[in-house]
Amino acid sequence: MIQRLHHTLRHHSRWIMLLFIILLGLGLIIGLSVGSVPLGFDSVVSILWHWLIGASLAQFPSSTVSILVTIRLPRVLLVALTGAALSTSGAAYQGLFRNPLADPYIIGVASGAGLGAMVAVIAGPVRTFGAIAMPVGAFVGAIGVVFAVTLAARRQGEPRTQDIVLAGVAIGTLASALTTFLMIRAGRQAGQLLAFLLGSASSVGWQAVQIVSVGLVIGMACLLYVARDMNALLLSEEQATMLGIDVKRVRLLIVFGATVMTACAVAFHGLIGFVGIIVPHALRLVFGGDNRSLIPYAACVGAFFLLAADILARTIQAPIEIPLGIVTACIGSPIFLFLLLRRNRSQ
Amino acid sequence: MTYLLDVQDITITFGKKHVVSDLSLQAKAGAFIAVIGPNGAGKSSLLRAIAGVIPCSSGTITIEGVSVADMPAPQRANRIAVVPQQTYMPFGFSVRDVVGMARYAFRPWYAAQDENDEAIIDAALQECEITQFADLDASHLSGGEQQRVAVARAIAQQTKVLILDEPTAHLDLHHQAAILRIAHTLTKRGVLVIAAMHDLNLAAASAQHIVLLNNGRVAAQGSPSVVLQQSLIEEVYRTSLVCIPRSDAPFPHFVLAHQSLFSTQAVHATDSSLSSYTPREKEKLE
Repeated sequence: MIQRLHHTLRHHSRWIMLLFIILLGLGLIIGLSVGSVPLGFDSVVSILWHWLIGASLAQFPSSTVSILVTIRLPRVLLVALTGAALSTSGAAYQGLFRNPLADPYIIGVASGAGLGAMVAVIAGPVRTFGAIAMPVGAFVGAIGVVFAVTLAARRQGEPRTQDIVLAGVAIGTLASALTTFLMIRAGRQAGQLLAFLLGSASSVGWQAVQIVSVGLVIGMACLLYVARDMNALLLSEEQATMLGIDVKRVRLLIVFGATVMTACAVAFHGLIGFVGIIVPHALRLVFGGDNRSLIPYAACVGAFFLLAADILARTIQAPIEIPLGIVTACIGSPIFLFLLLRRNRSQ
Repeated sequence: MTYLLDVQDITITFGKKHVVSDLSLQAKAGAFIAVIGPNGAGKSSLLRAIAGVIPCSSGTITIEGVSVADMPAPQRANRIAVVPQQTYMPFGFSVRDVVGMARYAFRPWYAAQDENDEAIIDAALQECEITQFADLDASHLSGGEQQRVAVARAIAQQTKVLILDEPTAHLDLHHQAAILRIAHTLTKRGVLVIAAMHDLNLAAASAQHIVLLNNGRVAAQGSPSVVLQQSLIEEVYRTSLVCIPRSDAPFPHFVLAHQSLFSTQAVHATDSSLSSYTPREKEKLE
């Protein structure tokens, strides 16, 4: 029955993509409406439309325009972009490591990116070069962890699932410990840095949206370019080579694309776990494993998922805002454990 | 005489060990070559070197006069298809998807399969008797069915050389015969089939040319009647065999002798062939 579902859904992939985009649009509008000052859907849509076409906004109350365009829109867009980036990079790392449990958080890449971003904030590059230094620092930290995990899990043949997860946990924990150490040493900045690490999106600006958008476009371009070849890579590196795939180039593009996206997401949104594991896994169950459709689906659904989590984070204990990372961890941990137990039973 | 495959004096080295030494082999289009020998003799290493997956430390391997080592991966995939010893099917891919991966090398990254590809995939599925599984998740099939999917994928590559690494390992008798029948049909179309095999009788029945390897060296090669000599086989495999003469073929039928099943001496003798290797090297060889 599942196979028939995959088969049917594959023939309607364009409609499904359209449905996801509509859902994402609805999620954005709801996200823009919810907050300490509730805004009606009609006024949100109307202001957004006027803003998008460059028309005058004088007819709307200036406070409403300010809340929507200056505060909520960059925040909601950044949440959506971060969800898309984490979910897509999760799908990519799972393909790279041939491991359904790989996710930027589980394999320590997000922790490495967090450490890199933290160093960039504390050591001074952000003061010297501006906000762009954060994703650059995060990228350096993340790519360092990818190589460290690959080296630690290396064995005869291809790395085993448990080796990757264990190496990721060990290296990620080390990166987290160093991050905590730096945070303690940061003095008055500590509270702000802790909120960043827990994935708070309460204070972001348009510059962050621009940088993450560029990172997402670069990462998506790399991953879509190798999406078909990633399918063959799932068989094994050797079989992919025999099917005419340039495995080294494909691996390099996956690592680069996925790590750029993770770094951008973490640099401006802190550590948000489990998005990269829940979304691709659920999509694989429903739509099959073909990366050519999985990657764009993961981007849309990941964005929608994190938007929904952000709305929850803002409304559960309003007016207090719960860090987004806590909400995703509460949803993600049980799902991860369920997947792990099911996998162990099937083996 | 022009050969499709020309292997000249190759040596394959893992660390300091020569896994294959000074091996030469020539084959024309349409031939069926069986590579036999005990575990760790170098069969899979030889096949992987011919497929261009592992490098030779010396010697050359050419297909249609072009060195395999110098071929880019897509060009190699247009000439050589491989059915590996162990097949793994990823979750979420139908049998048709997996067989369709054979056509990746023939299309740019953005292009979908066309009608020609679909027809080739359909024919490969039909040839391997797996059309009824086409829309099932390949990871849910049994080991034998997955093996047939891997063979179908190799057929769909439409190459001039087909390498089969123990193609009948997971198959029941019916499907062993079916796979070898398919291999024979391919040879009639001019495909050179090279298969590593453990079953001497199947190798004898299928191949026109047998290469017997022992500790990485060619112990004998030639027609089945030349290679399949009882004393030679017993010496290489370090076990006792019973040979049943056949009226329909110039080579005997081999059966394990009763004492080799229960004599610890025979087992120890076989194990001693690997005794010079470290455990890590043994794992690599096996």
